[in-house]
Amino acid sequence: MARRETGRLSWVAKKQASGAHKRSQSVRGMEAGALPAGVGAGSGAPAGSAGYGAAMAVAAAAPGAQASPTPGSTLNILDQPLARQRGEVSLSAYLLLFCELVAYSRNRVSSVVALEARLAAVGYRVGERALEYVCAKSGKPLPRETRILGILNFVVTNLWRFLFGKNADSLKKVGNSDAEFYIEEVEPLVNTFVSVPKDFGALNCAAFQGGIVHGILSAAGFECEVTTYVRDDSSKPGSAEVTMYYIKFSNEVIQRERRLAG
Amino acid sequence: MGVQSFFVLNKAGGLIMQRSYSDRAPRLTQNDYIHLASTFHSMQLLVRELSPVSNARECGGIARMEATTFRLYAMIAATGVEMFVTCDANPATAPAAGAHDRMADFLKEAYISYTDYVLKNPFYEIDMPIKSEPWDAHLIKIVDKYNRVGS
Repeated sequence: MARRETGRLSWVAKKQASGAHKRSQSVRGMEAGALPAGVGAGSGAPAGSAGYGAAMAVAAAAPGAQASPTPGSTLNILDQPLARQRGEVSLSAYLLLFCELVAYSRNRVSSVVALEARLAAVGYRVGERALEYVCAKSGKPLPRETRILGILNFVVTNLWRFLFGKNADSLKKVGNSDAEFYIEEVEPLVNTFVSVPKDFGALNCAAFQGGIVHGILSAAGFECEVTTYVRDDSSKPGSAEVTMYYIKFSNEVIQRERRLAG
Repeated sequence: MGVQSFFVLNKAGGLIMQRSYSDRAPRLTQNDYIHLASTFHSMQLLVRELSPVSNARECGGIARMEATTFRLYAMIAATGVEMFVTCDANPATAPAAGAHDRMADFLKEAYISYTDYVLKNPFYEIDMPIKSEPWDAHLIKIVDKYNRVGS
């Protein structure tokens, strides 16, 4: 089934490139989408992500096979208004694409660590673009964040809502360090349907989301390292596993932070 | 409603998933479940050949079986994946009148969750046995829902 869908994607992606697609108006593309309920991707993807974007947009239309594309029937993607667009991406299509991303990456690496690194590298590219995206698409102009807490709050609220339709579960500071923070999430969107086999050990596909966090922080001028891992949390009922994105800012960022703090 | 067991077969008739949801479900060994599944698969093939519908692909095969000890509802997806579920036949816990549609809905819902939790899992290989904890958890929810509706 996944294969059939993929074939479809590339076909309609071409249509999207040449004209516009009726359904795609509401689901315009970014590598990362949003929950159907949430706020989603806007229009006008930067050239680098246009291929991805077209594929995403169209995937949502694909399941309802009756929607046949008629090029030129809607506004060209460049003519659509920039602000206040509620772009929504089909969760189903998004996770199918993510599934293929993991399956593709899995066949090209030799270890679990390398697989996570690869997913993070893809996420990094999403994050780099997402910062400008969120800023350009927000109704009112957003201030440029120069302080660590400011940018982290931006990540766990604005960015998370834009990408996943909800806030991140929590943002915490590592006790005795100014440079280390972590974001916790009980159910990362991309892990909704993922079941990791035992021989993959502690693989967490949310490394992709960790990559997004890394990308956006780097793009905002906060050099850092982001690692993603799973922590068992038996205090929470139901899901015992919590995904943590551990962020360690570089020395320059910390020095700048001290200077700004005065 | 009294859902007992749920089976998923691949298009070759191999058992790829089986779960029991009731104390009343017979406890069998894994091999017995595999035998049962492939026996049912061959019956499905026979029924589809025998059916008056000329094109075997159009015939849905066995949809329902009623026995003195259990009731069975089945469906075949377009891809050849088969699912069937057994329920109590005991009047106290058996599906009430009009429950047939409900059990068809159950299978449909289970199939939809299969397309989500199994086909969108990057570590699943088509036609191989299914091991997915999120799907198991989701199926238990569906079973509970239909058990509640029936009571």
